[in-house]
Amino acid sequence: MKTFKFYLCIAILIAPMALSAITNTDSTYLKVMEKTVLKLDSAKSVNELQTIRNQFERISLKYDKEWLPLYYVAYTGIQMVYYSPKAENNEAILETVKASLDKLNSFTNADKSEVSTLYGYYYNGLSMTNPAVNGQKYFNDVISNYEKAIKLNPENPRPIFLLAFYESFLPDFIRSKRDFCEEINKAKSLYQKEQKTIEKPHWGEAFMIQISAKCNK
Amino acid sequence: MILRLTLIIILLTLSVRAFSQSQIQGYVRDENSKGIAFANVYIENTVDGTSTDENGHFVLETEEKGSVTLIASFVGYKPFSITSDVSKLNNLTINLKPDLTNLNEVVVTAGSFQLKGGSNLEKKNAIDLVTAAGSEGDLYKSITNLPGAQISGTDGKLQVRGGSSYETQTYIDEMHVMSPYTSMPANTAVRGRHSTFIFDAINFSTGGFSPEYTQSLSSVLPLSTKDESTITKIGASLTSVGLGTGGTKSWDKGSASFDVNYTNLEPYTKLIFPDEKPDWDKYYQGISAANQLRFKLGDKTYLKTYFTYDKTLFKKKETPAFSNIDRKLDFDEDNLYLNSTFKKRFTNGINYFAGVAYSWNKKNINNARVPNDLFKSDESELHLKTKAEKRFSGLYKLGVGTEALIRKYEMTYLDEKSVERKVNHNIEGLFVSNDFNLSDKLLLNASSRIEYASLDKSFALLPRIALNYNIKKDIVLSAVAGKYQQTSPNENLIYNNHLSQENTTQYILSAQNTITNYRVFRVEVYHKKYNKLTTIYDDFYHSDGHGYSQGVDLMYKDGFRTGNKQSLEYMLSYSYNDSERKYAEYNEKIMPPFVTKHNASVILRYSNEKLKSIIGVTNRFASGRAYHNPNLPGVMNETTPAYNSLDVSWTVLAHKRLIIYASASNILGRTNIYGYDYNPNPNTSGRYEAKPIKSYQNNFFFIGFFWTISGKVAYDPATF
Repeated sequence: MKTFKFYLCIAILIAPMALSAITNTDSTYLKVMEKTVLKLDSAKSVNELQTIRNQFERISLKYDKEWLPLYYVAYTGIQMVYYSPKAENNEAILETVKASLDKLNSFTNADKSEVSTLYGYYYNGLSMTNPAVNGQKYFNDVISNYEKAIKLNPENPRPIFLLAFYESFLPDFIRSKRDFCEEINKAKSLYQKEQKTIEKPHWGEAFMIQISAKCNK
Repeated sequence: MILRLTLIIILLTLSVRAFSQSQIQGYVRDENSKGIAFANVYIENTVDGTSTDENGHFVLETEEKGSVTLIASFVGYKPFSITSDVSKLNNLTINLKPDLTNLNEVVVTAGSFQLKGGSNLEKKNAIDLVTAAGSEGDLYKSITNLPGAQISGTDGKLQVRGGSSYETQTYIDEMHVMSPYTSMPANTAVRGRHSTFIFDAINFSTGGFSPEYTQSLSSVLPLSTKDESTITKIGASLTSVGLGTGGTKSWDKGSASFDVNYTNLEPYTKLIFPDEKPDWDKYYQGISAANQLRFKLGDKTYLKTYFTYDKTLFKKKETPAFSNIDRKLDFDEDNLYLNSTFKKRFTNGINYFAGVAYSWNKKNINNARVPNDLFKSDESELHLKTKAEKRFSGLYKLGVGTEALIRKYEMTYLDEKSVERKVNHNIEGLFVSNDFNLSDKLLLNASSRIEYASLDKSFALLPRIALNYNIKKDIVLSAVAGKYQQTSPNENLIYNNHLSQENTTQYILSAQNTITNYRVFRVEVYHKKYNKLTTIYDDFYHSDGHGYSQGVDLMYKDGFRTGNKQSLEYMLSYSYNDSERKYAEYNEKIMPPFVTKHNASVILRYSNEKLKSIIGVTNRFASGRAYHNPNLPGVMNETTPAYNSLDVSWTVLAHKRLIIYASASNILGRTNIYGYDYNPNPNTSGRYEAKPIKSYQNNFFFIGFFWTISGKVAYDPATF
């Protein structure tokens, strides 16, 4: 009886540790993703973005079955280019972004609309690094990827406002018949409906509000 | 007892947890021992990690125990890793090495133009190239506007720096194209067989090119198709000379494109040149089909296959200059080109390429020279090539390669007698290229080619040295010296199939100032020395011709806004060429009849967004060509009148799925003369009579409608 009670105490001691070893993997992932996505939402400089990108890279290497960390590695890379279009290492960054995007295509559980949006965003980023050469070269890639993203998920606000924003810089006769402010308002109401969880991308609302200023006049 | 034991175990567990964190710190530095800010430092297979600060310093905390692998990485550098017990990882100094596969490669600028696909010089896409006035929608014609390219005579082929059109060779995806031009009736300009729109990169070299390209004495035109085509689309075109359709189907790992075109000059000729009707029994017709398959087999691994076939038919009356005997030249030609290429960039930095290309051309011409004769030819070329290159350090890059060209030519001429000739020969070559980035401003390339020609069983060493120096970010000086060789054309080989390889040694000095993205000034001087040119005398063909070609090319281009949503771009170019050679039937050095001493062009391009239009004007000038007048003493003793052509074009971007292009060449209607045919027999006064050699048609008018029928594209007339 005494021996039985002894082993029972040991088992009671060990069991929580063993259980936490199993659940810690999932909770670690969720915890670290939540922390990093929060930081991303408030990032304001290329240096901050680089730090956050490093973190997403570590998460994606550890949790290589999850598509979202890799998605954010690509996204933060493109954001770095947008923040500093003339930086010398932009070409190298965009190469790694393309590699990440191409790898994302092999994830069956990745949100295809979000991946297409990011492709469009990537080509737009490429255009920004050298507008005279790349503007015309990637014009079709930007538009076709945003339009594909919208077709895959018409409730995704990101490609809607990004496409409207991109077209607002094009010559009148090249633009589609879409009205900029109408598209922005559409995206606005979709953002309001969107649930901001760490399980899906939710970026872009602050940027959209910024560019929508002229529609409020 | 049990309770006491349990308490001890609990306390021990808690204390282990409290003291389980380890700290790893150190520095991450670059190749110059400078700290790398925001490098990623982490333990493999964990999320434990950190970023370095502005000085490259890091402090990483981890609960890992025992042996771990620490990794440091940063964009543009190879990742670093070290495996050790975590307790021993401290006060580290990590030196990252640059990832040389991402190093921006410098290109020697002397003798080269990057027309598309790069950021040097001409930042244009296909629409810009072919919609320039005077290009008539053709790549080769658009290139004749560049300095160094000479305005050709009646055949419309590209001639460069005093060289004949045979001395300029075309490559697609690094594989040779035996027959890049269409066939046309006499005194009618040819066009390129391959649509400009299928090419992702267009480069044009006026000399001093890499020894990777062979069998060309003057110039090469390397063209590259796309590795990937990510958009599915279908398009169609309707023009004043024909119609076409094509499209691309794209999927994750590849794409397939096709293009079919039918050309028929009958409606155009009847409408614009109704007086020519009696000349044609069968108006010029051509059908062409092209297909490309592209496969992405892995990261930076591509397999492409490109195939084209075209057929040309026409039956036209030809009257020799001083004869009453007409003949109906009946022309039938088949042409095929197939090339398959594989390229891969390995993780160790080696770029590998392998390719095979097959060209075939067959002609059947009834009434070719005289009535009731028959000329047949069957020509083919197999080109095999493989090469590898690797950058070993920021200082040095090595490239090596080998290739073989296997050529066959058969001709039969049936008249009163039958003549048959065959020429089979091959050329094998081995080339090596060494690039030295001596500093961030100075590039040296020392390369060489060893080539064996089976015709004369000769080996040749063909070295090349090139230097590129950036005085400042926007001013580049270049110098190139190189030796090149080329087999004599088939029409000579059928009479002597042991002719030596014709060769040239070239020297080029170049200075280029890229003042802004649009404003560029460039000057080049060159000297080419020719040897072993084919000569004809004593009823035999020899290889003892020689000569030189030297000159200067100037180019200035600029652009500016002329108003709200309007802009004007212009380019001024001038070339001076002094050439003499002893070749063909000329037994002394003469200025060849295909050379013009002075060439100049002014190209204007006006864009107006409100009108959705691009209007082009090109004015080209060339001094007269030398010709031989038998009524005068000496050889090549006369010069034709100067050449001039004023061309206009108008491109309307009517809709993002519809482009309309119209052009008219030589709108002033000048009759340009390229030489004279003389009667072999003098008249009763003892004078030899002459007739001018001019183009069959003085002008060319073109209008085309290019639709994108489906596909998420805009202003993209390419079906590939």
